[in-house]
Amino acid sequence: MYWQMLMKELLIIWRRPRELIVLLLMPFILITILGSALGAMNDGDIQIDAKLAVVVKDKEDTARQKVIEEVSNSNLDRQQREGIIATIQSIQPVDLFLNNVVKSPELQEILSVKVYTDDISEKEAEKYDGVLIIPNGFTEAFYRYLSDEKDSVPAWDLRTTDESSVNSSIIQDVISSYQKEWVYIKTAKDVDIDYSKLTTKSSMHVESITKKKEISAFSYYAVGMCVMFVFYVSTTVANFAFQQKEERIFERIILANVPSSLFFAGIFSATFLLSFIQLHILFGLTAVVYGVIFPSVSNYLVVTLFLNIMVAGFATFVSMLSFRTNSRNVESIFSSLIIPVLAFIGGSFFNLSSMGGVMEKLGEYSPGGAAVTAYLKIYQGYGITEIASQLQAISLFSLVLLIGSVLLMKKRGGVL
Amino acid sequence: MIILYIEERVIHLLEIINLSKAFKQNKVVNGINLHLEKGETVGLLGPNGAGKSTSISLISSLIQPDGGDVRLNNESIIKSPQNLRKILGVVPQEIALYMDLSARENLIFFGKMHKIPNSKLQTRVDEVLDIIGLTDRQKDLVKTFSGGMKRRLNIGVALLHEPEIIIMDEPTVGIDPQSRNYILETVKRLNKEQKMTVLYTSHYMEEVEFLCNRIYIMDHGEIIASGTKEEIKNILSAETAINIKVELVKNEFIEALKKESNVRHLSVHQSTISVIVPRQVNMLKDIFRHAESNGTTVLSVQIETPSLEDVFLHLTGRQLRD
Repeated sequence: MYWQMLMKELLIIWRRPRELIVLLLMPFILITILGSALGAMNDGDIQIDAKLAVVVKDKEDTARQKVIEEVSNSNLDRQQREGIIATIQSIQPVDLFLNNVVKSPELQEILSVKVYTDDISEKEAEKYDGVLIIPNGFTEAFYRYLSDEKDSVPAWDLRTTDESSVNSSIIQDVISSYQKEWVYIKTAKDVDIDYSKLTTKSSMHVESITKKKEISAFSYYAVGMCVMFVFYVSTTVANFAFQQKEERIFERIILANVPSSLFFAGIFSATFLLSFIQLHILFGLTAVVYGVIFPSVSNYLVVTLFLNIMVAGFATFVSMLSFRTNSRNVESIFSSLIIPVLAFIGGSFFNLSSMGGVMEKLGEYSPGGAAVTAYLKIYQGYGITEIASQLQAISLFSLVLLIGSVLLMKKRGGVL
Repeated sequence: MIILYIEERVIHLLEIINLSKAFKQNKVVNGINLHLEKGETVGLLGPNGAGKSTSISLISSLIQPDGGDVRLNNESIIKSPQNLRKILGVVPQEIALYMDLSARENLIFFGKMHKIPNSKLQTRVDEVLDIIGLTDRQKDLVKTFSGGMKRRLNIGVALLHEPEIIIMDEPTVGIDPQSRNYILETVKRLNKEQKMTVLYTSHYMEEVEFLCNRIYIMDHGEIIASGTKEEIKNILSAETAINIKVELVKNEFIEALKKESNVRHLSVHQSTISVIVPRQVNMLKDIFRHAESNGTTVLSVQIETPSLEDVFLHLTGRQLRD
């Protein structure tokens, strides 16, 4: 019976070309228009422009001189002294970071760095996606770590405006990767290997983490439009559901001793399946036509399944609300007002995270925004752990919608 | 005839006792009582807004009543309507069908909803298609059907699970005379051959006269009269209906007739004025006198035994289609 309910929904939508066009052709046309128009404006790509302020409280030259002097005057034999001094002279950690790592051509395209020697005001800090503070005494401690006088190096203090934004993620990646380099340097010194042989490998490692796939206008709007139009599946199905109530078909089903929960389970499942098919068709088309390809199919499937569940919950909630209020207006309000607003907030039209502040948060954790951010991150090559907060937000919305639906169903006894 | 006697109380197949329903302050159904016996066809008559459709929703367990009871074989179904639903078919006034599915797909879908086993379903669908005369069009989408064909399929869906009782809410609204006759004949046949119990509501008096053994007349949420056709007509047995066809209806003439103490009821339909008067009174002389004094040309006068329509008019003061 459940299967029959599901098949009926699918068959009806299959035989309504107008709805199919709206759900499949319309988003593809919009991807083409927006991708072409805004892609040209942005010279083909949406630029990632992460801004980092580095406050250097450390005196690298002074520290180096001090440690070299101490090593020269130490009781170590000559060969050991010369080895340590050579290592110290070849490695200047702060200088290496500021003049080599962040000035690499790959990073320069996406990251701009400004160096300060004094603390910066909060107002000034707001201009940046992250503020890195290199503490006083860092270089000295670093050299003592190399010469086995200390077990660890003092960590650099990084403050980001929003840990979940793409810009902040890039900065975090760059710094954590560079900090891992220190272990390589120490290892090289301990096993008496030329660090430069290791640096090629390790700097490549830094590069591979920081050089995430760029987001083209087509890929951005493929994600934006797909996420927006997947919500229209829910209102389309909710519209069918209410039509069944208006035309007394729902009553006929109830009179056949079918529990109303089964009817709504059909709504949920049909929306889940239709949105799943819709997203595959749209992303498939954009992959073939515009080359928008997700690097990990499994990650894409995870995000899609989470989104499908949320959209199905949305359809069930809207249907239930329409049944309760006995009004077609509910579906109209959702399709003509709430979905466009959610799409706007979620960044389906343009990247709201660039506005910062509350809008950025709203953009990333609204129902649509969480999905857009998750898709964009996996498109860039991030893993599931990096989109955990978005998946949590989507799960939370799904749960709220389903609980809301159940409460609406139980609000009054008898037939809805 | 399934009529059992327990402690001198008659047990009906379906009995509606003091059923009431109000929406906000508006009492739509106000303490109605009616019953159905197995194999009979009962008419429920009433003008628009009389409360017929709400009564049907209450009887078929689609809405919870504010008061009263619905009993199937003396068992209340208010709290557990499943037993009634198993043996009940409802034909709603609306075309409750999926327009984007074919006739057969609709029947299969609702058959599955009624849990008809797969082994039996195809045969039953064929039988129903035959009953409603849509075998040739079974593969066509419902949206391509005429109004009459949709109405027939609407009935077909209600017949799928072979119900003992069928409730039909104005099943012939808005269709051509040919389809209407087909539906009436089908209902008559189902009642006669399959002993199906029918509760039939309609605006059309002639349909009720053709189909029903007993009639309930409903107005303003209440049953105002009930009985067999003859019993209902006997309400006006002591009266006569005089239909006066005039060239031009003049207010002065109507007012003069209304002032006559023997005129119990007067109504005007196009150029015909109907008055109901006591049978023993000869009103013809007075009618012609008033016509002459008011300059009204009388084309014909017809004296009739009151019809159900006249009874309805007498009881409610309204035409059925008002």
